[in-house]
Amino acid sequence: MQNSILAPGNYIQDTYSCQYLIVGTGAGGSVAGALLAEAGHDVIYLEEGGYYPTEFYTSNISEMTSLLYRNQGVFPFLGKPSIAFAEGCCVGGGTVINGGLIWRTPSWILDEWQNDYGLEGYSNKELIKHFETVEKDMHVITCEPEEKENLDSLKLLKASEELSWKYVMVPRAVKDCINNNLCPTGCPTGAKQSTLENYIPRSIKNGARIFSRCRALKIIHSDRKAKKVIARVMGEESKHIEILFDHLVLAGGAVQTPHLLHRSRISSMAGRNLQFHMNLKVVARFKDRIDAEKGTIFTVQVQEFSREGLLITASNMKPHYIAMALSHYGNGVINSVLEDYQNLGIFALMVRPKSIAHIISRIGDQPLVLYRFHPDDLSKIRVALRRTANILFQAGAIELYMPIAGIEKVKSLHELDKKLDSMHPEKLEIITVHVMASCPMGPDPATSVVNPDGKLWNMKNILVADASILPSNIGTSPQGTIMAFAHEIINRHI
Amino acid sequence: MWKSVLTGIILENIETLRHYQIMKDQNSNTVESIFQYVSGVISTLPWYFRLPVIMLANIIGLLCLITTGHNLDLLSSEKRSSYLRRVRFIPLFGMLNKLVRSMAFLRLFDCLPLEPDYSK
Repeated sequence: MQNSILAPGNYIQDTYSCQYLIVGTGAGGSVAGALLAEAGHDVIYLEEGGYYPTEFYTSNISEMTSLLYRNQGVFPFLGKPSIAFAEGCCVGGGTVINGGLIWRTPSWILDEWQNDYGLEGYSNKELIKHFETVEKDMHVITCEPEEKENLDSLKLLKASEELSWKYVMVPRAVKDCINNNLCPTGCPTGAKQSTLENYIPRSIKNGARIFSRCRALKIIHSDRKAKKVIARVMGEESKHIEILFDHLVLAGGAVQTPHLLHRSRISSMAGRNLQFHMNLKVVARFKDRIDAEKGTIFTVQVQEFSREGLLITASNMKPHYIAMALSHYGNGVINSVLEDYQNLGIFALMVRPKSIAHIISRIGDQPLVLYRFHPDDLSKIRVALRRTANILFQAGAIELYMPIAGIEKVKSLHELDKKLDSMHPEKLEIITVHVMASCPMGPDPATSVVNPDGKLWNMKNILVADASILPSNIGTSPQGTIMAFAHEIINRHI
Repeated sequence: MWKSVLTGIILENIETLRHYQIMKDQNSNTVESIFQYVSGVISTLPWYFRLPVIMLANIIGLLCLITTGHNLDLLSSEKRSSYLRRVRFIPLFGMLNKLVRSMAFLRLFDCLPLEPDYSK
């Protein structure tokens, strides 16, 4: 397998060629590459990040963040407030550093895409075979929260029942998970099924090659046909190489794919409509021990308000994450909270906002992302925070630390209400890990970047198979949707 | 200048954390390790984030030298805090401090062996 993966120092030639060049090895790219390689095509993956298989992963969170994330985890979307965007940058992409949640696209979202965006051929009926395949390939299971090891999730479950709120067990891609709580920095036991565990090895078995630590800089094209990609081998021995191909599949994610299209002067519409989810974290202190670090993450998801764009789950727990989630508080508060570490839980709420970002590509090698906070999102977040507080108090929390700068801990809903009334957007601590819809798929070239076959409208041989093609943000983790769309696009193509 | 300012801001953010105080006795390299980490993060940022951060740090360092006669990291805790309170109104200082604070926290908790290495 190692012979199929090039790294800096191994790029002997200046020019390489293949039938299919896949840019990106995450959820979309790895599926596309595996299917193409299995169909007998000569495939090269181009991946900016390094190749770090399971044996590389340790519990050293800062070092793993440096290895596996773009810009070592720091990529702000500029706006008020600025939003921290975390993106995987390694072979396997986001699948290496996410929670392994594989949801089928909610049917009401697929209906919305059909009715509001005119997208035909992607109904639940048409995608179900792909969802089933992905779930089998990725070993998707649902875990029941255990009494001893998932008390944070169990508390959410019981509180949901008491409030008569809808909740579900989360479908996750895991095998023999031992609850080490390290999903966001690479699973050190290989339990979480990233694409490194299945689609990438399948691709290599069928002859695919991976060019790691090699960044696509520009697509050279003429007569509506892409001819080659100029790429830079990263690291100290940096050099440029060319890769010639018959077909190009872009799967670098919803920020990097439109950036590459811009820089190559292929699409000016790409990147104008970047949509995302807003994640906010609430730290809850309980009266009794819950030992949240011993549980796996995201076992139970509260879906009572999913149609309104709100999901609530327990999140990954380490002292690092507690301190970072509380970094807008003073050190006195952090000291006091960490004293009760065994009694703490971090809970994440995910909001489907109206805010939209756009990508600026003209100022350098890396894109700049700007966004405007939509006024409706403030009231949406206010309601989301209140509902989250409601369920956490119901679950037995005695204090909550909110993701709002300048707000002290809260001990009751009444106390929170008063503080939420005077909340300003710039005080919010928001992160995002889901970006999408920057090269939307649709039936009309005036309003979409790719056609329903996943092909760029204005090019003959470029497919896009990542989150950028989704018509809008979907209000849930998009990995299952990306993989199902990639299956459909490649099936149509071959 | 860069190192003294970054180290000063790191110290300001972690010195009163109990976890740091425990580690300080065990490992004098903690601050150096955090500096290397935060500095590494900043060096990987795109130029349009990196350059303003470095320029701002140099301005803060120069002002510190002029007004106190010392580098920021060599000031006593009280004097450092007092100086940083005075410069917090400089545009972008809040962003720089937030970045350094978050990254310092991320690194700090890896400096103390709290848990087993799951890769073994």
